[in-house]
Order: sequence, then structure tokens, then C-alpha cells
Amino acid sequence: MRVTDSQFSSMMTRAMMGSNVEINRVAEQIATGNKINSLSDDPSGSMKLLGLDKTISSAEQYSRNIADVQSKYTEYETYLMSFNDLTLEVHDLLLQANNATVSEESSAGIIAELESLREQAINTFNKKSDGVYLFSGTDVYSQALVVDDSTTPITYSFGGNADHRSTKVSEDGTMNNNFTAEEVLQGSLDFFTTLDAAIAELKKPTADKNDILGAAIDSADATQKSALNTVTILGANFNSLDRMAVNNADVALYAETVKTDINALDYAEASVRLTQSMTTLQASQTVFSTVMNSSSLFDLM
Amino acid sequence: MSMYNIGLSGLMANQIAMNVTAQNTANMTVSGYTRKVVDQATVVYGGSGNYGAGDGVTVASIRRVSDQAAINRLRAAGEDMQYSQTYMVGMQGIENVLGMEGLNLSTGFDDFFASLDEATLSPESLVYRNQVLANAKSLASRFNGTMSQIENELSTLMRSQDQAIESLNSQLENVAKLNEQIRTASGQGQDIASLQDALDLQLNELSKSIGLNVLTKDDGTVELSTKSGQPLVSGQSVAQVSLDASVGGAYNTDLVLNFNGQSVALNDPKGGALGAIADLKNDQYLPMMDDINDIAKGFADEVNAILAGGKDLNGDAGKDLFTYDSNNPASSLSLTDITAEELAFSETGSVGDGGIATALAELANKPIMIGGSQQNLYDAYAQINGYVGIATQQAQNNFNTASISISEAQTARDSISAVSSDEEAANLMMYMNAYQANMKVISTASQMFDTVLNSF
Repeated sequence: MRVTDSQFSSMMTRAMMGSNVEINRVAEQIATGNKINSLSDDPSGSMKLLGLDKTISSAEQYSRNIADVQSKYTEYETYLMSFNDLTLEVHDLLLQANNATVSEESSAGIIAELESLREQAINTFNKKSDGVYLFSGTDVYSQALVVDDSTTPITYSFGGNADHRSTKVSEDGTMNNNFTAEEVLQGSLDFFTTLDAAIAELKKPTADKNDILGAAIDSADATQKSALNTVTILGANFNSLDRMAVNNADVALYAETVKTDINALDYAEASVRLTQSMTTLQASQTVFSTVMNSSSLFDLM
Repeated sequence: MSMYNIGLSGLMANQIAMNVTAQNTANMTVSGYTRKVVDQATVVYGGSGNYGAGDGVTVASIRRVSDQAAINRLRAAGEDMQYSQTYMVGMQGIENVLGMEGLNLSTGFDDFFASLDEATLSPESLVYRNQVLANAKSLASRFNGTMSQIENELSTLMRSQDQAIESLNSQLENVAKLNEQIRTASGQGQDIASLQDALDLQLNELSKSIGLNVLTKDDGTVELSTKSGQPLVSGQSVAQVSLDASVGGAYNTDLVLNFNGQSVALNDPKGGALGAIADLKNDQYLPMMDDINDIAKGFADEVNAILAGGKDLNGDAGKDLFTYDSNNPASSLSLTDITAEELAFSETGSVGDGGIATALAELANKPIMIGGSQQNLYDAYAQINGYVGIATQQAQNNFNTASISISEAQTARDSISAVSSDEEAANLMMYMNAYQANMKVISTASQMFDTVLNSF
């Protein structure tokens, strides 16, 4: 084969260009730490990365949602526990008042304390957070517990509704993020009506005192149980949110690991490739300059 | 006296040969230069009886060393190279747009759905609602940005198409001129070697714009036609290529060919840069823009439809969140004049209910109607990415193959036609030796003549 001058130089230029392309590629990979720097580097890998990014960002979002729901739960738990304590106190005070040996003065003290506890109970259910009522279901601008003191005896009714709001906590699961007054009181307002009746009876005792106070004691007892029941549900939900959070963290971690497998650069391997390409380039450059500088037949004339 | 003449003819023949060597050496680095060789022939007039030595040497021809097959192969490889290069660059353009972090639609969807998830905690809160609006707006602008970047890339392609058409027309004119010069020169028996080199180079350039069929005639002139056989240069007639004005539009790749007063549509395949631009537009850009438009439209329609089933904070029926122009949904996607209060997140009508917000957030994981089929938003977007990745990779592979093929074609052509300096040096020595030897012959003849003269 006839080899001409232009052939030699174009061949060498091509060889050096090829090495430079490879060096550039490795340098970009080393700079970013990623094997895949554009879609075409590895189309199926790129698609997997997109899917993994989605998995990770969803898992992180679910974790944030779980934390938000849990923080709401903590708020509800505080009020529910204080309501629980309050019903126990009512229960104890009523038992005390039902004792025949109570003096007039201490009876007045019990009445004052019961009235205060009644106010606290009403306030607990009508708690507001960020300007909205916590226990009124989705009807957040209505009071959860409506007290009409124009009537005798005072009438009570549920102001909001019993609907729940739910937040997404996993791919296919949602979790209620509110508790309603109806739920906590299991739909009954007897706690308040029997308490009012008991207070009225204590102020002006009649022959039915034992019965009326007994009914109030039973009601306080039942209400305490149902409040505690709600707290139990809350606790169970809280725990299952914890488990979901761990699951989400696992999912995100797993996705990160797979991402690393697909995309993370093996620096050792990359530096070997870099060295190889640089050696090739240097060799080509040496060959090129040696041959170009070597004497041609013209020099010998 | 024949010894003088024989020597002189050798002197002259080798002088010409050295001129050719000088010309080859001088043009060693000229691309497209075809080396020449001298064909020397023995001259025998005859009639000198039994002892006739012959009548010296003459230069029978100065031959251009070329192989039409190698030239054609190089030209075809050049066309293929330009096609795959233009195609690859075009694909890399789309790839870069999709790779821009600020235009990543997946991230936009993530943010939008995240803000909806958060809104379910207190659907009545204006803080969360405004966050939903802000993220919806940023998602819409991601759609707008992606589309406008792709349109930019496409406009760039259209500009290179204009340039390719312009240079195509002037190159066709040049070919016709060269044809004319070659015809004249060869009619007058002049040397047409350099004109042929120029023609070959011109044809190589021309085939970068468009695929060519070349018919070389005996007198060295060429007739050109497109790959589908439509005439470009024939005799004195030259075609003019232009955009088909009757089609119009910003992204027109329909070309017409005006030849001898007649206009016809330029048929596919076009080949070269013009073919690559048309194929990129028809096979890559437009389908991809359609896909993105489908996603934008499907998403906006679904969100609006779900909102329509809800109630806003004032208890009114849901208003649309997104609006778009159905001719170009992605680039025109924007928010309506909806306010935060008017986002119909409530399913039951209670202000604190977030049933609709939850339903909207669920769009992240379920299929919706996109372009006539049920697809998940993220999947539809990932599919575009995957397709572009594969097509770009394919284009790069094609480009690499074309690079190898053109370098092989160039090697094959150079092996035949390019200059080798060692070869020229060897020739120069050989011709110089021959020249000096012939000088000696003449001087010997002269001495013989002197000997004869001195004997008197």
C-alpha cells in the first residue's frame, strides 16, 4: 500500500483526537463523580435514575407528611390527656360530694371546682390552633361544642362535623390528621348535661341527690374511658406512623444505594482509564513528532 | 546528429518530469490535490535501416492519478458524515434541554404534589394554598421553559437549513461554471487536471448539503441529480433550491426545486445536512414536542376536572387552576386568575375538608389520560427522556461509524492520489540523474563532433 504524507498526519491527528475525547469524558466523570452525565451516556440507566429520584423524593415527602401529622397528633394528645385528667377529677369530686358528711363550706368549694372544670372541658373541645377549631372535624370555623346557656338547663350540641382530614403518608396509604369532639365523646354530651344537673343538685340538694350525682359519676367514668380510648387510637396511629417513617427511610436509602450502583463513578477505574488515555495520547504525540522531525529523502539530497 | 537529438529529448523529457515532481511537491499539503505522474514513451520514427537506435524519448502524457470509485466513495462518506453530524448535534440539543435541572418536569411535579400533600394538613390555610399556587406556577414555567428551549434549538436548525440552502445554490452554480470551463478547456486540448480537482472538491462540499447522484461524462464534466433522481445540474441548466413558500410556518422543511422554469417538490430522501434537518424535525423534534404538549394538556385538564368537583373556601364550585392555548399547550400553560381562596380543595363543602387536595395529590401515582392513552405523568416524562437518550446514543454511534467510514474513504483516496514526499524525492533524484546522464550524452556527442573536426 502506498502511504502518503497526508495519510500519516490525518491518521495521527485522528488518533490524538480520539485520546483527547476519552480524556475529556473521563475528566467530566471525575469532575461530577457520575458515570452518567447525559441521557445518551446510558439511556436505560438515565430512565432508572429518573424513577429512583421520584421514589426518593416521594419517600422524603411522605416522611415530611408523617412528621407533620405526628406534630398534630402531639397537639391533640396534650388536649386529650388534659381532658382525661379533668374527667378523673370530676369523677373524684362528685364521689366526694356524694358523701353525706360533706360540710356546706366544702360543698361550695366542690361546686366552684366542678364549675371551673366544666369550663375547662368546654374550652378544651373549643381549642383553636392557627385560627381554626381543632375538634370540629372539617367544619373548622365552627365551634366544636356549642353551649346554649339561654335555656335551663343549659343545652349542648356538636357544632362542627365528625369528618376526618387525611394526609398521604405512603404510596397508597393515608392517615387521619384530626380528631373530632364527637369521636372523643362517642357522640354523647351526657358528660356536660349530667354534670350541670349534679352542680344544680349540689347547690340545692333534693331527695334525688344520690341518683343525680350517681348518673354524673357514671357519665364522667364513661367519658374518661372514651377519651382514653381516643388517646389509645392516637397512640396506635402514632406508632404506625413511626413504622411508616422507618419504611420510607428504608425505601429512600435503598433507592439511593441503587442510584449509587448505577451512577457513582469508580474513581480507581476512572483514574486507570485516564492514565491509559494519557499514555496513548503521549505515545501518539511522540510518534507524530518523531516521524515529522525525522529526515525525509529530501534531506539526503 | 541523432545522438544530440536523442540526448536532447531525454533532457527535455526529464525536465518535464522534474517540473511535475516540483508541482507535486509544491502541492503536497493542498487538500484535494491529485498527484500527477509523467508517462514517458520511446520515440521510434523508423526508416533508419538496420542500425537505427531510435529517436529518443517523449512525454506521452502527464497523468492525474485518480480512481473514480475512491472519489465517489469519499463523497458518499462525506455526505453521510455531514448527515450524521447534523443529526447528532440536533439530538444533543434536545438532550441538553432535558438535562437542564431548572427545566426538569419531574422535579416540578414533585414540588407541586408535595405542596398539595402539605395542604391536606390544613386545607383551609391560605399559607398552604398560596404554596400550591406558587408551585403550580413554577411547574407551568418549567413546561414553558422546556418548550421554548426546544423551539430555540429548532429555530437554530432552521437557520442552518437556510444557510445550507444558500450554499447549496451557490455550489450548484459553481459546479455549472466548472463544467463549462472543463468543457472549453478539454475542447481546446488544455490540461484540465486542476479543474477536475476543483470539481471533486466542490462536489464533496455540495454533498454535505444534499445527497448527490453524479454522472461523469467523457469530457470530464458532470451531471448532478438528487438521490431520488431529480436533476440539479445538467448541461447549462442549474437548479435553484428554495423553501416551499406555500407550506409556510416557522419550521418549514419542505423544499422546492426550480429547474428549467419548472418548480417541483424536492423528494425524499434528501441526504446531507438538509436531509438531517428535515428528519430531525419530523422524527424527533415535532413528536417530542407533541408528547410534552400531551403531558401538559393531560395534566392541566385532569387537575381542572378534579377541582371542578370541589368547593372553595367561599363554598363556590371549583374554578380552573390551569389554562392553555390548545394549539401549544406546553408553551402556553399558565395559571388562571384563581386566588388562593378559590382553590376548591373541599370535597364536602366544609372549609376544613381536603378531599380534593388529596385527590389531586394522588395524580402523582395514578395513570391519567395523556395523548389518548392512560399513562402516569412521571412515566410519560421518563419515556420521553429514555427515548431521547436512546436516539442521541444512536445518533452518536452513527456519527462514529460515519467518521470511521470517511477516514477510511479518505485513506483510500489519499493512498491513490495524495503526494508522498519520499516518493517525490526519489523521483527527483531519478529524473535528475537521468537529466545529468543525458547532458553527458550531449557532451559526449559534442566531443565526438570535436574529434571529427580536429582530425582535419
